[in-house]
Amino acid sequence: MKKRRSFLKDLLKSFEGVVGLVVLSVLVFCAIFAPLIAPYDPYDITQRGRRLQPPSKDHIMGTDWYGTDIFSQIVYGARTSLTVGFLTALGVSVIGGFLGVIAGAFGKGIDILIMRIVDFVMVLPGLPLMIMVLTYLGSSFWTLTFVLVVFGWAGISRVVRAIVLSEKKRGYVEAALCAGASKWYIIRKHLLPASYPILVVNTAFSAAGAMLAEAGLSFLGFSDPKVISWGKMLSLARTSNALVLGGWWWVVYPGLAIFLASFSIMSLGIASERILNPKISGRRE
Amino acid sequence: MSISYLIKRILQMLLTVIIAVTLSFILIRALPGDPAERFYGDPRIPEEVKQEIKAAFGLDKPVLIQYLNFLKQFFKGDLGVSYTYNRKVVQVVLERLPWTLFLTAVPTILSMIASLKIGVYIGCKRNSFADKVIRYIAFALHSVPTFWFALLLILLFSFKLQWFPLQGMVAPNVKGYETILSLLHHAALPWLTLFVINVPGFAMYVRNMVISILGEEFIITARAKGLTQAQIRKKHILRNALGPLFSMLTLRIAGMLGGAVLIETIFSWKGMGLLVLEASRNSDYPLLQATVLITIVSVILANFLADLLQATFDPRVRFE
Repeated sequence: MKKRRSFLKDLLKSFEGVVGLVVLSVLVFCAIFAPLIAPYDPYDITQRGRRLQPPSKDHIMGTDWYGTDIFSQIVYGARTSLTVGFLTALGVSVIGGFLGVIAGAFGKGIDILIMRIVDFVMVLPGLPLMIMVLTYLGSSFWTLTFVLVVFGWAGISRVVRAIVLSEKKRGYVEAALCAGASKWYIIRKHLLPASYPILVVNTAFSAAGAMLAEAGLSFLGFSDPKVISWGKMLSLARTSNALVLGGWWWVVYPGLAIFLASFSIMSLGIASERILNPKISGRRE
Repeated sequence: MSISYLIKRILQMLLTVIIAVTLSFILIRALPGDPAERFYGDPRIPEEVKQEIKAAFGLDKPVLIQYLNFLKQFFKGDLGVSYTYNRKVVQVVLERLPWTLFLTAVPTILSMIASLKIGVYIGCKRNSFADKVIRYIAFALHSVPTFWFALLLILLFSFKLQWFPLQGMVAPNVKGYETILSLLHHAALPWLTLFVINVPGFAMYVRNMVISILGEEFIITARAKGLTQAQIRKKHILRNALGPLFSMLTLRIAGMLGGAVLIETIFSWKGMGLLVLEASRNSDYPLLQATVLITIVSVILANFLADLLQATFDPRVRFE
């Protein structure tokens, strides 16, 4: 508990940590209390105004071609983006972490097999493949999250494996083996906890990556037809020729939201990386 | 370069291609919504006709035979016929491939050159003001969605300034050498997008390489024998950073060829990326599958080439 408090303290001391925490908190707040914050309900077609209105007092970010308030859509869209980001990061860390630990701990054939799969998945062009799978499965919130996890776990497992390999060489793991500890006990009690810091940092990066990928897929038209998302707003803006019609606000604000969401999580990731792993601080971008 | 290294890499590449083809075969059969089922699943089609269709597509044979046929056909370059184009899919895809390469290769090469300059510069001045600023910009650019950035560039350059066309590849009614000028004019914005998006990752990678190279003993030796900073940069740092840069490239190629879908959609650039989307919208399954498969094979080939380049610049790789 004490350790956790000092982590938060360190986080608040770093510039990136504060920026990330503040921006992300605002977004999470928006997502949770969307009905209270949004001036209009974007799902309610009776609450639509005049189409393509520039930002004004009534609509601070303007309206889209259908007369829906952009700001309200962005507030509600935070729910989709943050949930996809969170769920994908969770899935990716569990699968990537598990396979990484297994590969590192067991070595030999299992290691070679898993790492070959990782190499293969890493050279796959994700976007076209995701499009292909989504064409077969149909796009919904869950299929989207599913493909993001399937194509996203490889990087993490490689990093975790490297940590486990270096940890295995340290004395205490050998001591535990000599004391008769089983392999699974060592994995659970020693190897897995040792890789937690890296896992936390990579979870943050995966969440940011997943939100960007979700936005890209939604932009291409692979979004859940039932929910509002930032990528889908941009997709509608493109198909309705928002820029030709002069509706720059319809393009600028949703993209800004995607940027801020990803940026805040990346900042938190970078800040926690510096705290948890001071050795590499300053080396990474 | 040794022959054995070359053979080893070629065999590895072939194996990867076979795995990709195999997975693609499994994927199509494992996923719900079997296209063949849709084709003959209509209850109005009599049973005999269904059997005939199945036989025509070889679907009445055991799965293993189907798989071997699929592999054979792949290496023969026969991936079926497109529903929408009514032509062999391989032909359709290969016509689009050069345009995607044209769109992605130029900004990739330019961004590699720029990142070498930037990376070596800030790597030699670690933690200086310039280093910190460039690092932070690079970090922030990671979170900018490529397609949104492209839209902003269109907003600025196509609408406000009217310097570049909104989309498309060549303006109508141009002939001769003007076609080439028009093509470059149309490619400028997508190139700029890809260039700006690629530079940060590459530059940071070069910077970190340079910092680790600066810690090597041969740099101290070079300093001791009286080489100037400029000479060290050119002879030792740049040369040593080049090899790893190509290995960085191998990690990015997949993302770049895959990410072409977004750029090509925004700029209506008739490359492979747009073809993937077209095929998906028209439920043209043979075309979709072939485009994705050929994208994967292109990535594998490009990786192979990048590896060879890396081995040329970095002898250590060859002897691993």
